[in-house]
Amino acid sequence: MAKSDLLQGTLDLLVLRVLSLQPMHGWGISERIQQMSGDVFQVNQGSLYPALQRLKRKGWVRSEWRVSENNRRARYYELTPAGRKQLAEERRAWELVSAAINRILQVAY
Amino acid sequence: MVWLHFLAEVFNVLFRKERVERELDEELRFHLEQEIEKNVRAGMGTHPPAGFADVLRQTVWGVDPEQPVPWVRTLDDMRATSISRERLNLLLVGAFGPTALVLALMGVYGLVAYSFSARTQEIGLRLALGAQPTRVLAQFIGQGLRVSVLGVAIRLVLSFLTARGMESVLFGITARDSLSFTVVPGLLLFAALLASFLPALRASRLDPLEALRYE
Repeated sequence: MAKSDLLQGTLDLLVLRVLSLQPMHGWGISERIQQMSGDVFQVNQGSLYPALQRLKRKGWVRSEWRVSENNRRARYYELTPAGRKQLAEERRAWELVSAAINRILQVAY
Repeated sequence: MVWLHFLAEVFNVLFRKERVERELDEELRFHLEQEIEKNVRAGMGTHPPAGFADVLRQTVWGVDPEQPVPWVRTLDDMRATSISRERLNLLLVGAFGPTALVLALMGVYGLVAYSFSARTQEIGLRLALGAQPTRVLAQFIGQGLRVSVLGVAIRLVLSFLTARGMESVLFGITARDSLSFTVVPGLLLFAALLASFLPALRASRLDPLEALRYE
């Protein structure tokens, strides 16, 4: 997770978020995260695919082989309804946490 | 019956494992290829070939830091290297051809010019006796052409016999290329015609009186 290390468990949230936009293959997910984060996060294969496996095992995403934009066979990942619920939940949790951290950081000395 | 069931289970696990691995393999390969394609494209757009080597190295090392990248060369570079021998051969053939042509023309010119100077008195006499200058002109040109035609004929036969040996240094045409075998003799004859024309013209314009006194 090169440039900036993601907090443990944040990658799952980001993957779910990106997949909520549209079904995507692994490379597309990593590209999208990098792009949407303004090049701050670079997700490498070593963490992305285990994360996808993890999400799949939990039933939050499902995968199927499709033909990619450039006519290659690629495994596309898609959010399940359970995944959508999970995303909403994690999002709320994240907002709670980040708001709390921000409040602490912004307290004037 | 239990062990059969067990065996089936083992097979199942084995084959499933194989399939999962194969799919993961394909998935990762797709990812890698996309990544490389993207970086190569980005690199090509923004980097001159020289600095591009570093971009490629960084890209490869970004995927696998252990991977050695011994050398990076541009396609132009590789192509130039791969055809350098052919290029040299062609250069030599291309240089020898015109050289041979110039030598041949100098030969024809020299021959006609020499026979002109050797026969100056004779020409002067003929002109004094009323020979037409055009006939003198035709005679000298004819002389040059005769030699050239003979030369071209001999050369044609020789090249036809030795062309096989040239096959390895020729590119794009066969050694017995019909166009070369018809156009080149014509060009040679034409050039010989020009080479003999100059001395012939001089001969036809000779002043009979001076020519008779010429020693």
